[in-house]
Amino acid sequence: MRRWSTAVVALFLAASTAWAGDEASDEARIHARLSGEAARQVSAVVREARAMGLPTDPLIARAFEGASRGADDAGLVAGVRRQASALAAARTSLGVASPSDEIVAGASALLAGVPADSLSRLRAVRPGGSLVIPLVVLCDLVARGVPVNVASVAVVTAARAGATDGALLRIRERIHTRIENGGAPATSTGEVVRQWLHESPAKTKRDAAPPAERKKVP
Amino acid sequence: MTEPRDDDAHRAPQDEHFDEQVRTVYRRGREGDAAAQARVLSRLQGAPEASADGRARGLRWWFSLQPFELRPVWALGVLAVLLAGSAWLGSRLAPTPPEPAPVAAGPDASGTAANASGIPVTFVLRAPGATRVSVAGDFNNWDAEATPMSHSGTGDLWILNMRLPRGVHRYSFVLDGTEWRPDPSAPLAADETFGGHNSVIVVNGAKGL
Amino acid sequence: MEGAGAVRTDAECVALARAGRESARAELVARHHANCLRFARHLLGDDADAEDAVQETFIRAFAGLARYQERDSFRAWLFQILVHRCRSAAARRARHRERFVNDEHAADRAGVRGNEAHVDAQRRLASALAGLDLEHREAFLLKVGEEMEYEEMARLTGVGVPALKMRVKRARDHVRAHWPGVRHD
Repeated sequence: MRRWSTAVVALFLAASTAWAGDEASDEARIHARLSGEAARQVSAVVREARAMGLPTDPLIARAFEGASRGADDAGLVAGVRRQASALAAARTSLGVASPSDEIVAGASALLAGVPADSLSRLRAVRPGGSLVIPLVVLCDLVARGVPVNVASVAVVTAARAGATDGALLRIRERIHTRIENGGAPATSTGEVVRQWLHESPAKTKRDAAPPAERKKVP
Repeated sequence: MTEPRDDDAHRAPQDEHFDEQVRTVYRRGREGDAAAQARVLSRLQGAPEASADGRARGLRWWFSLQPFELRPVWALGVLAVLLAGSAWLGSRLAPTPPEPAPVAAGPDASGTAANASGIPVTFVLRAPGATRVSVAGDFNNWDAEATPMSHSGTGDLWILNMRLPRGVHRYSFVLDGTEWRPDPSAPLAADETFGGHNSVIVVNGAKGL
Repeated sequence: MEGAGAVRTDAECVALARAGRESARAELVARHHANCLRFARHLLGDDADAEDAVQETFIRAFAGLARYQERDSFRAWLFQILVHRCRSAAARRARHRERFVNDEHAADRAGVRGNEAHVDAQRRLASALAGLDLEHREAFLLKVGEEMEYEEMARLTGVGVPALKMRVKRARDHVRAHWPGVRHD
């Protein structure tokens, strides 16, 4: 019993010390890089995010990016606040147990206009696997002009059909090549995903499924 | 069968001329070729991907979820050691200023020792006319001067080898200190909070982007 | 990182790449990627398939660098891998019943973009090549496009020199007949 209570106290002390160390380190970085008022406001957002258990490095990185790109203080702080809101929303959609990388990638998707339920659907089709690559591919497609709904359906469909991270990356490259060569983003996306569905090993399994379970790619 | 006289020494003049016309058209490059080349270099960085049956092999096995059993008291002990270690590290880091990003080669003006941990990655950019190119991103506090790339010596290729921690990193190339340019070989980050697209690299030990 | 200096031979780059020098590997890619891509693109008639085939070629080449013998030309060794990758890609496409037909859409799928006159010429070449089967196209592009010697082509394709010469001749006659506007001097 005594060993257990000692272990619990040690854990508590260790965690508290680690927390305090992280906060001090972040404050120092922020104040070393940003001007007075911007540093104060960004630090406040970071503290609030840490209290909510959200990853804070992306917020600090966003602030530093704004500073390097010449954003004014108001724009910089607004960007950090938007990122913090997106991180919280991404954690809600992906699940509170989601790792930081997924929450960060999910936040990027939300900031790009991807609806929250697309994140939830991705989680549903890959319950135990990482969603980092699917979310990165989704953001990339949107950035290249694929309409958000088309990109979302394409990635969810491929993921549901068992596309590995490698397959999703290859799908992304093929879509990118078609767009670069003049293809319309939405059409290129649909064609590439349909082709992959046709060629993939999971096709045999899908063909064996009842018709109601097969989804149509736009 | 009589062998056609089609080797170089015996080609008919009209064939020679025609072949030359074909070659002229055949050899023309296209837009997007440079990006395709950069994608090859990006793929060459990664480890082999999972096999066709979907199960992780080789290096990926180490990063895939595996069931295992552990006595609870051992788990507490390991956790206590890890937390105590991070607390010590945190208290050491708190008063010090941020360290610049590691640079793979060349003069290190900051005097900071290169970071030996992390997963090796290679950034490549073809940038005709640029006199200096650097990388700015989540991993170096978006400092546009801290991480210069090296010119390859031939063509317009700029290269940087460095180590990055596991995770998702946003970044951009900076040309001549003023032009911010995304990586043509990498996925784009869709949000443009401060104008212009950034690129994304996912460092996890598996096939890179 | 190496700065500007004397240009290294392919064999020197291979030796450095074997030793783990990333810049040497990048140098080999920079030298040979364009050639590989144009060959794959004209052979397969599809930009995405071509890029996949070339990527796989470089991955296999660097994974198997220990097997490269310095007496062989690195380009020929690379093209041997590339030819097999392209054949696999073509076979996959054939299994899915997409035919490389001789019509204007073949050139569109080849995804040509750029200077208008150049685009037009490339479309016409693609259209002319589309009427050939893979074997004839392969031989024609290696000989006429890449200017390889027949002995080298035989080693990397596994086809005998007489058969290769016949294929090149037939392919040349076909392309000339189906390339409208080319000067028949």
